[in-house]
Amino acid sequence: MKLSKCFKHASNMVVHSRLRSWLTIVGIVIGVAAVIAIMSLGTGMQESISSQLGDLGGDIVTITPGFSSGTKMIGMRGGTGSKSYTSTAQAVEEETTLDRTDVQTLKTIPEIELIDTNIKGTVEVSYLGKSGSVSLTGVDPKVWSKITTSKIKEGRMLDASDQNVVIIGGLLASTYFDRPLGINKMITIEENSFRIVGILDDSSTNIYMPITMAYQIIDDIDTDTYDSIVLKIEDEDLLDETITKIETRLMISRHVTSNTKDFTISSNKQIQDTRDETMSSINLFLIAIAAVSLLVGAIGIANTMFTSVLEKTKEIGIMKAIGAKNKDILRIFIINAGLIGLIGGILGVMLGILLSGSMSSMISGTVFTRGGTIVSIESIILALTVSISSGIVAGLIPAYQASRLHPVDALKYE
Amino acid sequence: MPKKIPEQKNKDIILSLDNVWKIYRMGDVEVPALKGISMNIKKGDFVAITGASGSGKSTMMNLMGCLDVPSKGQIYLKSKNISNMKESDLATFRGKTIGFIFQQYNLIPSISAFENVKLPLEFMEYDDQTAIDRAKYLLDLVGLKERMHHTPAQLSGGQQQRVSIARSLASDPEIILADEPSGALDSITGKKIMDILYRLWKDEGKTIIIITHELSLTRYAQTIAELKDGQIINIRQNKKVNKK
Repeated sequence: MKLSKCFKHASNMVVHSRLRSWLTIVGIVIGVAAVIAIMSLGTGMQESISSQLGDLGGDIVTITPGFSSGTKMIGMRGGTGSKSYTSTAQAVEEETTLDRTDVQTLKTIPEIELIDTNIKGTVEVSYLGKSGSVSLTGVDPKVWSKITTSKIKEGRMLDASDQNVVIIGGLLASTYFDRPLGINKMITIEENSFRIVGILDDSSTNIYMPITMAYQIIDDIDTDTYDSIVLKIEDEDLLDETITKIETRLMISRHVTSNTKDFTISSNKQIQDTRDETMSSINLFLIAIAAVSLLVGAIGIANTMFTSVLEKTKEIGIMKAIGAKNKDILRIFIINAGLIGLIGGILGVMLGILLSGSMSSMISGTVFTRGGTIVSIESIILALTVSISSGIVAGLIPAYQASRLHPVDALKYE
Repeated sequence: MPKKIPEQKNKDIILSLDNVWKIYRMGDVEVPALKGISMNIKKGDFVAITGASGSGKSTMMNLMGCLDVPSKGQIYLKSKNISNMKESDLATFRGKTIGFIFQQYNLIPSISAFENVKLPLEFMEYDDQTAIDRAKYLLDLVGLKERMHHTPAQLSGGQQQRVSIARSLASDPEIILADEPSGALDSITGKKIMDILYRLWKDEGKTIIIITHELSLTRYAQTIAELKDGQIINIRQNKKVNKK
């Protein structure tokens, strides 16, 4: 029998066993919809985190004071404007800082292309009578524009001669105050006026200014000490080797050993890798949950197919008596199972898209859904492929059994 | 008892059973349904196989229709030993050579009369137009052209049996094998069905084999074989029936 005819008879079987087929299809619909909705949530989370962290840049390395090892954490400045220590119950050590000596040490390493020194704090910012607390970062204006992964939406980056100017985050510019902030507007930071020269293309409320100005604004930080040193290395492929070299040099210059190390080196690549790994794990976990419902759906197909073969035993006998070959029967039943999977898959995708839409509005505002839910083409293709193939796989054994039925036994079946 | 006709020696023999046994196992007990049946059926013959319930009629029909294989002995269909054939080859050979008519019609309930008649042609991969034309022609032949798009449930018993006859003729087989063709019908409708079979024998030259317990139906047959306890106890020619 031609494949097109097998397809016709298989479709006919689906249509004429309405209730059973549709109940099975409902099982698949739920499974596929769960996969689509959960995957869309996962993709949304990924997008949300990516947009918040931005493109981190794989060749950027950050050095921060303090080192966490087991239960011991050597103190570092809290960055809240007031002097604070982060410590465990077991150990409170004196505050460690990064300073010019460290920068000098780093300058001797040829693999480092650029060095940016940063200080951070929380400051009071006001505009047209409204004020709030935001994060301020003092950066080296000569280097920052070359090292940062932030993009300018309006205006310009900082340059070496800048004094009382700032660059602000996109959210601070657009909705933080009653009126949007624009280029050349003046804002007050800790009672000092600053001119906005650039607005970043992001959704942050951060403020960036030359480090020399930031020393005057942020409390409790000594000049020539830093909260972090950000480096750009020459060759991203030599990242690990360069980090080891930096670590060794700094340990020598700071007179510390691996046990008393008082600084932390982190690379954006490591952060990126960790983030990607975490997201993959979360996604896998979510998909595994959804896959269980798809598995239940597949078992439903197998159950339906076994029942169908039993119910159609006599018809199989008739078909064999009038010339059907084993492969014809096999094809008809496999296509039947695949069709149940396909119909379930298509309806499941539609329901999944609806679900993911309503899910994002139901739990909007949580950290997971700031990026919304995103139904990707990949998830649709995956869900359809899995539903059709699970239908076929589930239908294989019943179809094989049907094809092997002896015509005389099948004809006797009542 | 007729002896086996050696292959290719007698072109007139279309179906030959040579010492055929069919033994069923019921637990540890072996129950022989047929005990050494030998019979030759000539091409163009009208054969009635009669016998009481349990005499082995249905078993014999299954074997003659290549739906089952004998426990012992050989069956030759158009000089081919079917016991040695592969299942797929046998299905094709059976589909081309034998048309089945069953007591309970055995139509596929979910498709129309027209689709039922077309089905054997689809299994034999006829092209679509030929299959459509042939199905229409056959339904017209059995007087059901107007009801061709009805499903079996929308047809009476007699009409369903006529669809079944049309289906049995789909691939233009040489043999029509009918198991109690009028068994589920009233006497008038039953007679109409038998008349159609008679015409197919007389006008179309088909070899007709009917299995029946109704002795009245043997009046249509040229050759009458009587089965009892799995053995042929009598084969006779009906002189009253003449093809000419």
